Amino acid sequence: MRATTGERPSFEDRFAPLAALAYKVAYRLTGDRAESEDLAQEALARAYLRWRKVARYDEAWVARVVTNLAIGRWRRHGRVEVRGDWGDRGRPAAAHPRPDDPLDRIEVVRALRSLPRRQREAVALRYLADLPEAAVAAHLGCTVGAVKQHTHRGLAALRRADGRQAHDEERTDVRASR
Amino acid sequence: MFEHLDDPRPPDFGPGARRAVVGRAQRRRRRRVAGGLGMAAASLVAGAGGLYGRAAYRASQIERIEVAGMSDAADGEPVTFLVRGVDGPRGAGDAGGRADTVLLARLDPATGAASLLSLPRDLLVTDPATGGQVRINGLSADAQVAVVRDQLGIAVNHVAQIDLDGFGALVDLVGGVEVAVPAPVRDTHSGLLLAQTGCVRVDGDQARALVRARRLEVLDASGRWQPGRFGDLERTATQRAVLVAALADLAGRTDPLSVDRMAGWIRDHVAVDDDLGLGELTDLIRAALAVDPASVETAIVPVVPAEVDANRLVVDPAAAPAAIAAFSEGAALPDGIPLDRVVVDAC
Repeated sequence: MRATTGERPSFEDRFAPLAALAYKVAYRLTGDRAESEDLAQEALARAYLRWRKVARYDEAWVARVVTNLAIGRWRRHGRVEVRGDWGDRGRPAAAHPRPDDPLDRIEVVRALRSLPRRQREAVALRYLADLPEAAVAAHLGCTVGAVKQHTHRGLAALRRADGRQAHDEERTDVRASR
Repeated sequence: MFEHLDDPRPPDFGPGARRAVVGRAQRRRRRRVAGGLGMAAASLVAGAGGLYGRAAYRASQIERIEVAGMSDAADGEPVTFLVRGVDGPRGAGDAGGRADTVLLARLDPATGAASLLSLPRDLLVTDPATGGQVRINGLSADAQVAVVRDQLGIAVNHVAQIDLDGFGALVDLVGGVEVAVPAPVRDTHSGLLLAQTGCVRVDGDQARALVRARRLEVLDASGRWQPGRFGDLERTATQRAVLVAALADLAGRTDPLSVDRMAGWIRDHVAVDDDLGLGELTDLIRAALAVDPASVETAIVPVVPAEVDANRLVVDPAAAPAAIAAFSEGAALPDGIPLDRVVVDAC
């Protein structure tokens, strides 16, 4: 038996899953391996410095920070660093995403940027980090119902901004969460 | 729903990656703690220009929050900040959180004139969302901006949010501050004890305990510790005394080393709104450091006890308009409410 319940998990124990989560979120936003590794490292370094405070909601905290870092870099560069691969590695950097992509990275980042803060965070934690609604609610300090509302509106705004039809997957997701 | 954007072969985050992250974090902490010596040495090598560049880089890493309802300040015109000291992390997820401290800071970059107008935490205002009477500290940044604009008549240009540790860290940044202690004071909950009276140097932890303590006790003439019965106004006054002392220490330090350390403090403890440009921010830091501390106008917005609840405060309809007008014009602020007792005072 290592830790008793209620004891804070150590940074060491939590590093691997948190780094993988941070990388996933960063990669979904940037599509660039080096950039994503750097963003994940930065988010984890910040978590390490504040571990006592972060430990309670570590996944949500890391996901939020890495989202903001990725979006912040985009803000500073004036564009997303979309150098990376889109699944098939041979494609050139400027290639369009696959036609069946419901939203490509640039659209996701741009749309996320345009959302009000609560909606943006709810969408990022729920769908970029794939965290359960309860964890998102706990971190944002609101109810599960409010998270559903934020993500629902956020996704709707995201689609409107994009001028696309809802992806089937999202539609069932929103319905299922009602 | 974004699985299609995933890296099919994500890297492995093993112990090596962890060591790299911890190393990155520790280098940053060392840089922060080592402060003076290392920076002084670096300034000899790198020269001033490099350090200003570093300060600008640090400022570029500042956290951002999204706030609505602010008005733009024209270039070079006075800027009014809503400063929120929050009871937790400063980050975006907490912009809706409670604010332990709410104050308005006005800086005129052209003249170097600065004013601070504190809003007591127990001030009752109308919640823009519900129309009900609520304490200002429970409102989100958005709502506070609206309240200050619509109910006090002061346009806010930017919002700065300082985290739980920021206040103490600011005091430590200047190597502690001197405050006047009229009577020995302690708080057994935080372990605070100021046994000496007169001008006393307090560090960041003590300063924070002073402004946060709910159960301060004061040593009376017979040598017994008595409950301090300090209210929100006294707490606000304490905070102002410490803040002004810290600012007095910082003021005039426009050398690259100080600018860099200030930028580091901001990066570590402050979040600002999205609309504040990086150049504007750097200019403001420099303008703020150039302010003459003796000329800083500070006051608590005039308040009277609320009719509904004597523990709550409302804006004093007689005295507040003059104070607000003076603040908005950058003029001398009228003397605040006289306090019967203070925890600590300016030294």
